Amino acid sequence: MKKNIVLAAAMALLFTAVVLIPASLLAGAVPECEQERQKCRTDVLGNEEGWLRTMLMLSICDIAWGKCVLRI
Amino acid sequence: MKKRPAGFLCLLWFMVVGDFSGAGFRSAEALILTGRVRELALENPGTDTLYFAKPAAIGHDDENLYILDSIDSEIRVFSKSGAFRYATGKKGQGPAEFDGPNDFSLYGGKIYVSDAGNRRIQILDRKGKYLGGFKVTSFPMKVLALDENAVVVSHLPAALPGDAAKEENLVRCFTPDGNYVWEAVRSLRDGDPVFDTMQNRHVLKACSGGFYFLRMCNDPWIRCLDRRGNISRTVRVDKKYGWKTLSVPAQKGKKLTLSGLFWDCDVSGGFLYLLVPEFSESGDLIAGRRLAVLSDDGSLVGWLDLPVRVNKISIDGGRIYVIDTDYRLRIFLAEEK
Repeated sequence: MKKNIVLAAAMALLFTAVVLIPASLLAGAVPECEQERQKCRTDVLGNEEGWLRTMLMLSICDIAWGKCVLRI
Repeated sequence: MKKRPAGFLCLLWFMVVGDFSGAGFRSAEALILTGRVRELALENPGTDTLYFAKPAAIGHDDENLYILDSIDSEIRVFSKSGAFRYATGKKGQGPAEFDGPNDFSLYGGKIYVSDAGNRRIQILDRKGKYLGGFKVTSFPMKVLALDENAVVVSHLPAALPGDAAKEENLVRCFTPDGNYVWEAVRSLRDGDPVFDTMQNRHVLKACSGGFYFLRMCNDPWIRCLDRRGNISRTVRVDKKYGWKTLSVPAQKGKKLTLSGLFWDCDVSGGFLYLLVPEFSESGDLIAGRRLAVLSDDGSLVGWLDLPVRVNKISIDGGRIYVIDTDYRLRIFLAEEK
């Protein structure tokens, strides 16, 4: 019985660590990533580069956003 | 829409801009038919103040010319003959400080600055003294003061990669203390965030009773919205206007098309001036050197050819203020016949 309780507690702790904590971190960090992406796009569009080059740089903003989200 | 005879347009042109002081031309016909310009020699042409790190917007009032630099986070003010007068603003987060400002609007002795990095609109007097401002939820792209009580702020579509298709309004109106009033203009949505960003790039320009919303590509319609955000008039850009079509790669190996309408534009004397983009040697679409002049019904009135490629324009009757591709201020006058 005691062994089961300890096992259940360990499982609960593991669940919290793996699922809940990253979720809470994600909730805080994703808006940060979005903000960085918006800033990146605003900067790119102000660069007065050709349109193909601008699209390439906008794609890089999106890749950076993806990396920012996945790093969490 | 009823077509106006060319003679009437020329007469209208003359009435609007023909008596413009210092412009140096006598009739509208001369301006339109020659299509040429001559450069005005600036006072102190060698000074650094004429060069910019990243000029984001240019505009003028009755007395001065204003140029916003987004890297230097300042507004430089010049006389209309190009003499540097003063600069205002610096990088920061406090009052009258900016972080990557990207647009401004002049109205009633005030400057409304889109302070993009700080996600706010700041209101300054013409000398740069802080008068007020408000926060906005997304990065502002363009700002236009419609009157003392209404400031229009636009942004880009916020859809993230992988988001389900959704349209959103691109323009929001606020009171000068930041109270939301209305929003308008649905975004174009193709599902590719990069492509959608490109096809929703736009400018806001004041027009009688409200403002113009013009997309830089993929949209032949010029919309005039009233002060409540309702479309009061829609005109189609003349079919004679030479669109520049660019095939671009998109997600999942697709090819999409960007039909370029303009690189920058301005409204003056009831006419719309479009800076026509041109193709580079590598096939990219870049800033051009030709201005198309359109009347308020969208019909093509004439062309003006500049000797250099330019990024930004501000038209003041027959006077053309530009930022060239070397980020330098230059002034041109429409040439007499």
